[in-house]
Amino acid sequence: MAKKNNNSVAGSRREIELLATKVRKEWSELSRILRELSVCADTGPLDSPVYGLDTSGCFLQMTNLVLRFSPAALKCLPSNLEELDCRLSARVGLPYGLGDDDICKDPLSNLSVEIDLRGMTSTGELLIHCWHLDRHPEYSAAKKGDVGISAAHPRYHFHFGGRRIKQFAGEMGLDSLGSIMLFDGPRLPHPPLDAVLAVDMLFSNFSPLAWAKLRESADYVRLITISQRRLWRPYARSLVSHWGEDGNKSGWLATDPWPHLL
Amino acid sequence: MNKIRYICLDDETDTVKPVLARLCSTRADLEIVALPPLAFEEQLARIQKELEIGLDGIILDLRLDRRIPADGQRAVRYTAPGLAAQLRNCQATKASQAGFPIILWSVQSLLEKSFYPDVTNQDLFDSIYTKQQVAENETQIALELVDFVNGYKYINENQKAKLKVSDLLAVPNGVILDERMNNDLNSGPGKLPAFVYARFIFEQIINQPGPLMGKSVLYSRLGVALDSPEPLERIISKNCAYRGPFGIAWPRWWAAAVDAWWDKVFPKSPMLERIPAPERVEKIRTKFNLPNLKAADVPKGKSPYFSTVCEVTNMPLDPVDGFMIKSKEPMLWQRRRYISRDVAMDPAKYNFRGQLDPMESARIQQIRSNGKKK
Repeated sequence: MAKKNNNSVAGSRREIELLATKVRKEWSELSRILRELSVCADTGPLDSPVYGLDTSGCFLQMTNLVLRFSPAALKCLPSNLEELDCRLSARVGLPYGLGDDDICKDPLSNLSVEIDLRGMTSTGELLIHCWHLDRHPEYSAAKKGDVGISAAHPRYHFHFGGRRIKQFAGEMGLDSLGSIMLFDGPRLPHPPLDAVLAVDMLFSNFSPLAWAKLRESADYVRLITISQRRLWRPYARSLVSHWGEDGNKSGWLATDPWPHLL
Repeated sequence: MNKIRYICLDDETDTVKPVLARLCSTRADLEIVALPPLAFEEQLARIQKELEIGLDGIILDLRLDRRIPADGQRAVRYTAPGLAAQLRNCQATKASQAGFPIILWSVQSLLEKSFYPDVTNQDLFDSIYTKQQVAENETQIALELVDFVNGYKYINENQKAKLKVSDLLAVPNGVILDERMNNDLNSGPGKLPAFVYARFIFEQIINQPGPLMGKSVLYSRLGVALDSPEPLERIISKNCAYRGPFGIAWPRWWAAAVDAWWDKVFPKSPMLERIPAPERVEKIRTKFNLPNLKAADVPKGKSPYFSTVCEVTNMPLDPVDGFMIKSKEPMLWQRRRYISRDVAMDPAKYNFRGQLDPMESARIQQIRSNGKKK
């Protein structure tokens, strides 16, 4: 019996390593496309993510990919922005027991996408803008009693601000950020992103011209489709199954990604 | 003690003898014998004989074919690359021939005039030194000459048919080497000569940022000032140090091992590069009780997420603040080199003669035209 278990653990490990290798290749392919289309200068972080196994599965971590956007194409307050640089990091955890096309399960065991945008105005003032997409961890019963934990925690949520903005205030010697208030929330439900989808999300919002150029590339579209299918299809299925529309309930309860549902 | 023995072929043996003597005076284990070049065939036969009786490496003067001022005659009619190509060919084709380092030395002006324009020659030599460099850095260059020989000996001893480069690097436990590295060695059918491994390890792994990093990048990544009175090397796990060929003269650390060390020592901390440099130092100071560990300065307005250094000033740098230097397309497991904004804005002031990557040109022009210097 023990031997069988060991075999199934090894099998599960092999499967998840194969999937992680596939994802690494996709990130490397994205790197090639970004360079070929001249929309990103140094794609090294996509080519050599840190990866390995942990207790929940296989993780891939891509750190500090720098994307530079032209502020001229954007409406921003203040309007005298001259430089806009973005640093993107993504850590993705692929859980044991997940198939590549498993549409009834949460596709990730861990996710952290950090987006730090840094602007510089014509007068040399540094400005910051940060978003963070998390996979919220499961809490123990004791922790669930905390007031902070009682707030809505969609499994995957975007959050504006976060630790990085507070650090920036510290670096700049500021007690506050002008008239902006920073809270721990709201945590806005959003389908999960990996490095590929996060890059697409950034170009779509901060460089529409580059985004249009990317989406003309059949290779790019193929990569986006693969990631959306892997991450968004189970997410969408979970939501739609709440109303029983598909007549086939997902194993992933919709109130997990979308706790506001009644 | 078995000395490491080089011969140095130079048409001006009397001039180079004192330079070589000073070089050897820095180490008891190094011997370099200056010899005038012989006619090509005779020279090859002489080198073969020397190899049989114990020769570890060869230093070649570039222009062996110059006219001797006394009589206007040429000593020989070949130059260093011609001889080196033949020696490499012997190393590649003769099964009995072990690999050994071939070093080129010359004066800067001759290298620029007669060597660098011919790009087909550039992979023949393990290292190229100017005679001025040798005179100014005797201790380091003597160490490098010794380490080249030891590296070659290690590769010769470990060489098997179609050996993987990863087998030679003494990769520590816990570091997974990028499997693409083996493919990039361009292994054709059959056995590769030792110098192919040696050149690949030295040029692509030791001398390029990627899986290995030098001292300044190590310090930058941990946020520590290079002149910290408390050296980082004392606390960082010994597992992180590179122990493969050429690692004595060119100390390197495994980037993945440093990350793993960080995760083990600070299991609740985010990944190293995701926290600001001063915070990294504060954590190390507290954990190891090192009040004298000095943090690298974060210049005002610059990002504190250091992960590399400026190639010109050697100061820590977050690539977001830097400009990428032009280079050959890196292999997928290699990283790019950067210079800081200050250097990019005023290259002459910093004596920077390189070029920026073409993708950075528009950016620097835009910043210059904005007329700011931040």
